[in-house]
Amino acid sequence: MGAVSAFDAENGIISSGLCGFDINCGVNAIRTNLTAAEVRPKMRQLVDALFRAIPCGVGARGKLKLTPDQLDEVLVKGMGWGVKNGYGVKEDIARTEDNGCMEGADPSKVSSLAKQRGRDQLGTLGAGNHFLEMQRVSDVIDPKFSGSLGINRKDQVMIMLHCGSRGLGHQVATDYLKSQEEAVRKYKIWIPDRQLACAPANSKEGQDFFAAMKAATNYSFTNRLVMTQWIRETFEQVFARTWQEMDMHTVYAICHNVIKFEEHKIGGEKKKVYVHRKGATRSFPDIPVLIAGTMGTASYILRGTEAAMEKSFGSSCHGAGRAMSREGAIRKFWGGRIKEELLKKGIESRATNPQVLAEEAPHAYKDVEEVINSVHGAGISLKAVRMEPIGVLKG
Amino acid sequence: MSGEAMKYKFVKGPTSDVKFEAYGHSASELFENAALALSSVMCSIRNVKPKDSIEVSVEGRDMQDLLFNWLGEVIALVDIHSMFFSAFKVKINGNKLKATCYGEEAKPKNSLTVVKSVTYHDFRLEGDDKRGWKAAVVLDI
Amino acid sequence: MKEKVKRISDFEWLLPKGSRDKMRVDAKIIANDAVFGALEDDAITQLTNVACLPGVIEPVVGLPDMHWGLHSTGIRLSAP
Repeated sequence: MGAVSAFDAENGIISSGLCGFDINCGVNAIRTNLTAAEVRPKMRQLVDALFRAIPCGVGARGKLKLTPDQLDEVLVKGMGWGVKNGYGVKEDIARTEDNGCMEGADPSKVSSLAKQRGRDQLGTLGAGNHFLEMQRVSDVIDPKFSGSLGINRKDQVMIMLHCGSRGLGHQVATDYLKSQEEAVRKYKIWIPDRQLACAPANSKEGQDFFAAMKAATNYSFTNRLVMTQWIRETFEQVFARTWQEMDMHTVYAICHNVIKFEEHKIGGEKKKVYVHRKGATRSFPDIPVLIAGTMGTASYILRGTEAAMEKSFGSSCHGAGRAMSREGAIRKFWGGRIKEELLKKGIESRATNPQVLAEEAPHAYKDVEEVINSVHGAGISLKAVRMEPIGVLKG
Repeated sequence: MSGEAMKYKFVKGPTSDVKFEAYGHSASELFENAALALSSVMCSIRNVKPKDSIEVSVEGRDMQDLLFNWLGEVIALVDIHSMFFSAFKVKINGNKLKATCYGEEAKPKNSLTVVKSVTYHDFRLEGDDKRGWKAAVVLDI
Repeated sequence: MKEKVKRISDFEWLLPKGSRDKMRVDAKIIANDAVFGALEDDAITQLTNVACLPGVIEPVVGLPDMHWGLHSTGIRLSAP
């Protein structure tokens, strides 16, 4: 949706519809010390190896099968579970929004249907606009800030992973959309749009949803950490070096569909409010903001600012918006042509089905450069690094 | 395809979502066709053989709610069983239904789009057994 | 709705709370000229919907990647 809204803790609402169905859909950025010149000759091999390592596509079987207790632990501990079980390292946690775990998640507020869907999906990429991309740095715009992130030069290879909470998160969002439809009647709340069903933030319904949303958020953080581990292992196989030797550290990891209980200055005084970011990224002073472009277009890392705290509850955009419906994109572009077009731009791609490439054709998205220029111009997040894709994996 | 009534069609919807209309002579048929429309977004249904089956029961507050829950169940089944479905048999009884979903293992080459949820946008179900049934559904993808 | 939006700076636009019935707070949009020009009316209406919810704090902010609305190329999906 591309919007941020904040609600009073006492008399405000909390809304599943204003969080989005893909709870904690977000982006991870991983750096490397490899150059595009080193990676390009092996890109076909790399993309194919990643395709084998990371299950993707609709209904794909995951490689991890969790017991109910393990799943509950993921929902409560987030990335902490991951590191404890050999996925990622402690430093990944430190480089993630909220340290990869929202406190106060309650697995008992997540339905058994959601858990059935999530049990075997940890470490899967999904489909749609989710992807794994290898990129080359095209411009270092803020050398001081990007240097602090370990990004120093043009043609440095980066990796961006765009994914969310999968079936578990979608089910939580759907379950609470339904329960909030009832809450709206119970608490006599007028809503202009059924999709904005909500509950009073301090009601049982509101807090149950918040606790379930946190659980789904933690699932997404963990999902991306598991894939980070497999990405590192795949690079190790292809380049015959350890991931540490290749400096494959997490630059940062963010959420862009989530509700946070944050302190902001409201009318001159500090107050904790429910900030709803639906297709919006947190933009706090000097913290990275990751904007994943779509397949075939540029991505950016920006720096969060004080101005964002004043103007947009510490928020910025999340990526390009759709300009053309998926049907329109499929009609207009055919997957096979897209693959060729991408190759001409020097981008190797792999998807489960050619039609999938057509759906996400770059032309279907609003120009990311204008979106980035807008947030930069408004001062809510400032350009630091620009990257272009050189390899794409999609479900 | 002459003489065969239209089961569903895709129509203009919100830019980032998919909207379809489904039809049926009976409510049960409408529910089957709505599930087919949904399934066709998730996978290439013409390549999915209906050789295995899953049985489900779904309830709702009323018929609209039942349709919402039914479609949500189909979405969930794809994930839970790692299956795609290309045929459905639905039997509605009041505000409950029993259904058999026919399909096979989800093969990556048949994978299309993840449907995150059925939404309430323009969600409509109307008709009766005399004039026929029609539904409009927007899917978040 | 778009005609009621006023420019307040190079990259910020304001839709005051009186723009429609039941709107409790102002809505703001962050966009340059190119993005604002391409913004669909439905996206702006959606933003004002959020501004109608109880306990909402000023302002509701639309970011430059807000997207919504009916698009003329949305037509029948036909599989290959």
